[in-house]
Amino acid sequence: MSILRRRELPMSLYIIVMVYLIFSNYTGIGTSLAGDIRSWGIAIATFAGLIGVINISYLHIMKLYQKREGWPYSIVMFICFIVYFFAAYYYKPGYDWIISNLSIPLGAAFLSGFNTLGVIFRGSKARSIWSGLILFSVTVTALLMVSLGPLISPGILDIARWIKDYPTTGVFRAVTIGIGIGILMLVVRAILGMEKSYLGEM
Amino acid sequence: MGKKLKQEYEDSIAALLFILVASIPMAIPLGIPVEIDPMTMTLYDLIEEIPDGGIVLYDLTILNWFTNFQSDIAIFKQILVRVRAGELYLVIMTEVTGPIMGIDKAWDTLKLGDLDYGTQWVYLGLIPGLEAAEAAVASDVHAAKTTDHYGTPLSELPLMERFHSIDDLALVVTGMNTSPDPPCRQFGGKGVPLILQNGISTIPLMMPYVEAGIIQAYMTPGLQTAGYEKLQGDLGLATSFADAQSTTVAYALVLMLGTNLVYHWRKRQK
Repeated sequence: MSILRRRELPMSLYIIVMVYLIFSNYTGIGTSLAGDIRSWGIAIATFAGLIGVINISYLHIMKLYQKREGWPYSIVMFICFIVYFFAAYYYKPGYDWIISNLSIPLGAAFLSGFNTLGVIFRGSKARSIWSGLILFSVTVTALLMVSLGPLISPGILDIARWIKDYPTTGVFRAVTIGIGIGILMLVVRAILGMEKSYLGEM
Repeated sequence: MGKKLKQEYEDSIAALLFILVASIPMAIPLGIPVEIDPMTMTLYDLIEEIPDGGIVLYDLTILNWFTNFQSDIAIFKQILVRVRAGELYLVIMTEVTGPIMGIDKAWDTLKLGDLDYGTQWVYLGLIPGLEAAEAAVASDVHAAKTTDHYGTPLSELPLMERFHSIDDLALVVTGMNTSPDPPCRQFGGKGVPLILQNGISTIPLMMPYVEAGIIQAYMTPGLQTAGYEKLQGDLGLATSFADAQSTTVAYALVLMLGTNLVYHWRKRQK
């Protein structure tokens, strides 16, 4: 097998770079090269945008070609993409109009209200004592987040603050510690050559 | 009540009522008083107490104009009062493409045009890579990017001569709406105060970092930002939305109660 196709080469690169960055971070030796390596990461990330364009184009071209369900929306997607792209580079007033009058209001409508409304309407049924407790927490926490809350009941807000400061923060502290341990495990596994997900292997 | 409406009709009625309820404060302002949160005071004091000559790095990672951006704009306003007074200097960057789309609108809102670009403020533009970008900027910003957003070499911008790494900063602010872990890892605990602008739902995620002294202060959209605007004496988007948020939350709670009553009533009927 060609040396370029063997997995030892990318694994070696991955491990050497990672060990070097850790070494440099904790010893302060070779920080210039470490900085350069981090800059390569930025250069590679730049290509993510290009990969995104290729992927979305491929997905929608295939959808159009096969006339899959909802294919007319793919045409809309391409029109929006092309208009937006050319406006951004060649027609600034049009681009500003799209941002101010389409993108921002539509984003606000989507993010601020209607998706949440769907969740409340369809997903907030107290089917058990546990889901009832969650709904209670949601209710008092929601009241904490708006100016109407103190007018309804200051006592409820105390419960909401207690939920926020103790059970919820406690759970998330555990989650944060778990993530930290997970990252450490990942590093150890990668150094030992056991982590191969970046090669597309499980 | 016995006959069940089609799901799409139910959804449409609920959405229509939502619009009506959100519109009520436009016709009848409720004028509910807004309280200033203790965390808001901490954030305000932190910015006020930055020593003169300090450089502030503002890392934008999200564009939700009517939600997170209202908080970003409010924080920018307080910082810019001191930038205009010649006390602070501002460097802005983004790690994702979203904020770039609305950045010109933000600059107009903040009237950045009347500041001396390159001396009082610099816009680095997009530095892709999320946490990798934060790590690179924290260690060596000139290695991470050689030109600003407008293509000017960083070496030609006087402000950038004083900013090489996180050690040269007086404050880092990150505007986001997701896990606070990356900025805490890359900017936190390095002797420079860190402020996070983050979604309301992420408060529990930020609290462990606040208690550990890694995040010095946070700002969330909605009520907290409305209190912040009140403190600044410069009312903005958050204040105008405060009443609408109250009515829509009240509606959501009524809706939640109603759906549960109907659900259990129908269950008992069966």
